Amino acid sequence: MPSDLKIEAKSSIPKKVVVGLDPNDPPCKLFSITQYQCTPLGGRVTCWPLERIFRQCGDNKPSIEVTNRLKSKDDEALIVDPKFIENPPKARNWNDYRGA
Amino acid sequence: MASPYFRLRNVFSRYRPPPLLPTTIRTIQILATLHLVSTTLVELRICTGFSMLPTLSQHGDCVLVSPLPYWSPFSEKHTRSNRPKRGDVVVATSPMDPSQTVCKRVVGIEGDLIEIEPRRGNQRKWIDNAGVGFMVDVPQDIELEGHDENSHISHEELMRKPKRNGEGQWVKVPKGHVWLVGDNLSNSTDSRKYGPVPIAMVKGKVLARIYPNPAWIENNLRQIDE
Repeated sequence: MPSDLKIEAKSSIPKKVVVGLDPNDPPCKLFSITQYQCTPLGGRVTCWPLERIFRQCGDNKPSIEVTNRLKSKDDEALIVDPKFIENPPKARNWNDYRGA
Repeated sequence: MASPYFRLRNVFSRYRPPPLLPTTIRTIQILATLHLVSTTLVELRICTGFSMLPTLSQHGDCVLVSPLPYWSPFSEKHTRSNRPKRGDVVVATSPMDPSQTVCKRVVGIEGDLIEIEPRRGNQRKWIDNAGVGFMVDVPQDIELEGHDENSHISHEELMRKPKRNGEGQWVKVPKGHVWLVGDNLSNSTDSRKYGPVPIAMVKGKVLARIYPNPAWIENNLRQIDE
């Protein structure tokens, strides 16, 4: 890979606008952590942001990642899939996945 | 006639250590002080590699790391207030090679349910000017710029890769652990590979980039307003 790569964070990609919590879950809130997918293209490193969305119900409570479980509510607002909230994934330990 | 005791005392009182000794002692004192400062206050480290792009450069950024944000005067245990927080960039001992350290971002803390692999989309083959092919990570619904018939760069859609490891799988971060992930999900060896990391392996919080382009390294967790 060339050493003179330039980093370009893509800003033209519309970010997900995630607002509008499910009114049935007033104590819950969403927060995001921005990460990226970077790849060398044409001598530059191009980075696309990936907003990781988490749902937390109560301060100092554990959160659950809902990045890929969002549904469109209207044009701009996204909500967490109610089915996912009703049936969250079973909590599994790392060893259960990796069999270590 | 002086007694043997006084003669011995005279010999010792006239003894002068060679100049090498105080220099050595002073050097050891300085090194001990530096070690004390670097392990308890702040230290400079070089973070190299592609895993923290674009937050940190792949060429090796000099960063300021401090264990103080995670230090408690009353206990060696990490209490709720002084443990790593979601969104912090930290330096930790590498679980793959304890002689190395890694710079990663805390994405989950104990009790959190984290999707091991949040990425979706394709990997495509990209052929650069020199005709070298790369597998590149392209998010869903992103059109690659410069892709037209006349472009000197060409890409071809390969078959959709089978599901990535960890897609649709949630792991619970156990007590006393954190989930560390590089900002560049496309090129990072992190908790997706080695699992949750004990908090005891976190050496400190990355506070700022010193060189090049000095800047604070901020916690990028953002509340989403209703």
